[in-house]
Amino acid sequence: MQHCDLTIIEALDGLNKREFTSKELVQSCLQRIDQVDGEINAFITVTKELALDQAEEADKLRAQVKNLPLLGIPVGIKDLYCTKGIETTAGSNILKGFIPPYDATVVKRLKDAGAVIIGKLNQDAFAHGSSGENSDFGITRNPWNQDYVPGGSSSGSGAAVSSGMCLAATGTDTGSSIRLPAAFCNLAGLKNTYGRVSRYGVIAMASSLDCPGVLTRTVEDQALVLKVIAGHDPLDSTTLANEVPNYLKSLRVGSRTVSGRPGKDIRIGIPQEFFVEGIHDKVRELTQQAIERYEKMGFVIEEISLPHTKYGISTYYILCLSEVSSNLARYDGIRYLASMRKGDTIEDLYLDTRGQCFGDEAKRRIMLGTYALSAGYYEAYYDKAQRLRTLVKNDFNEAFKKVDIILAPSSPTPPFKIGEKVDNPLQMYLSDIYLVTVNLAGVPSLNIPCGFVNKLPIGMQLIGPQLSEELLLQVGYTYQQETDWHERRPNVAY
Amino acid sequence: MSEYILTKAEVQRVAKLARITLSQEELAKFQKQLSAVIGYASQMNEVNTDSVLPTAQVTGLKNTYREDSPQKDQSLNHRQALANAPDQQDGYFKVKPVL
Repeated sequence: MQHCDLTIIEALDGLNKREFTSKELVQSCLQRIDQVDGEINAFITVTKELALDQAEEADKLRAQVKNLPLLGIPVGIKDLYCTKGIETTAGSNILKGFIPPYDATVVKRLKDAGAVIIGKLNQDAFAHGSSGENSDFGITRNPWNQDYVPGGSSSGSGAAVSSGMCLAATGTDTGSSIRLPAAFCNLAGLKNTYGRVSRYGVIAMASSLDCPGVLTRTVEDQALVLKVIAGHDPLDSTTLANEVPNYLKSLRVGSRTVSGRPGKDIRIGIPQEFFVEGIHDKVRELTQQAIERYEKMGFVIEEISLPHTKYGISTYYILCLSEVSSNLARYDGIRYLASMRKGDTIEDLYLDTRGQCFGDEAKRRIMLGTYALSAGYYEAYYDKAQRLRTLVKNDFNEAFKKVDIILAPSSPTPPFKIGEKVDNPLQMYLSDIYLVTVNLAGVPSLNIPCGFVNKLPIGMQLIGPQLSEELLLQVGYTYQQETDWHERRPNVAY
Repeated sequence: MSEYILTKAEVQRVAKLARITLSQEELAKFQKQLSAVIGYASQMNEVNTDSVLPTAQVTGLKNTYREDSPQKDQSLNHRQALANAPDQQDGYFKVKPVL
């Protein structure tokens, strides 16, 4: 096991005990990138010199006993996040060469906490995807088995952390995109409450659904990083003003632990609609085993209903794609680099730039959204979906009157093969079936590993009411103390 | 009579609204794919939403304001704002004729 295979908590311990330096840690990650990223393709840009400089700086600060929460820890940034002076493409050709003049708030907070930015991670272009196959910069492969997808859209983030190219990576979850790659790559991935983390500087996909967050090896690491990035931001008017708890501290103290029974009084709801057709047998079995383990620990298990689950995909995709069509209108060949100026009029400029520089999935989504919002169709699609969103949200409100947390599989199937769903966009959208209703309701959900099928990781979600991250992390941590799925590492050839 | 929910003309209309040029091949491909997704989405009609209010956002926040004054450390200067412009002149974004 190399330094790059450590968790953040372990690495901080090693750094603080002077067992190794941040420079050595970063070099270990860079070496891993050299060894395996040619095949995996997790990174679009590796900022090697910058990272080594930042690492040296971190070592100096540590010597001065400066105690920053992520001092010297190498972190990857999904290419959807603006990084000042560093190319930011969102995985799309239309932004190739784009150099943002500012940092996203999340990036700034990570840097202020002493993190070392090691590079920009590959993703489905504009976050449009659930597999990592929609990037204009090549497919990302799952380090657990390179014939399989790592999940998307934060595909590079999932692949990089699980293979030790960095110790944490930022992602965004609009309909699945942190939790699915976390599930497919054996990681902890928290889609936090909408508004908990600032979207400033994160290239917008669907503004009422986008949730920035991170992928880490463990729940403990999640707790540490969430404290760094969460909180009100005057630059994002949709952020919540609620105080940010010390998640790591409360994780360890475990306020509900009573005489060795961590689950006392905590009710876990199992949504019956998630366990009908379409779920892979082994996924059902492993999820059931996880439920039984919680029951043994003293948690109370109850069956609940989320009756509008089956409308989740329709509702989500209509709303999301409508917002996408609006957010991507800004790529006009005038302000963000890509430009096809052969035509005579401004109309030609738009048509050619967007026609030639957007990938297939971006075009599909923009057009679907445009259709759903256009005169004559607005009521039947967009307005209808907004009303269904209310019903989906109510399902969760009602459920949380009966239970504290909902437990569900993150994906109906194990990771699928590269190419398996690429020609059938609707099939691809349906991979998100257990994930999207969470985004519609704006509630938090934590994916944690819960087993393997044919050596491919499976994950489960812990879903809670708005601003219940503390509870989700505690309950997730409890599971990780009893199991060791999260300690496994893929056998990356090196 | 088209076998797909969207006719080619409708796909073309939508593409024009979205300011995207499509090749003939793309037109055929997208007709099939868009129709499949819209067809699936029609399932929403199974639910009676007559007395349900729409949800636009889930934070419950209203009227988040700030002082209308320049914030120097948050502003970009001309040079920064135009840094990614493919075509510029005298500190302006340069475009083809609009009219």
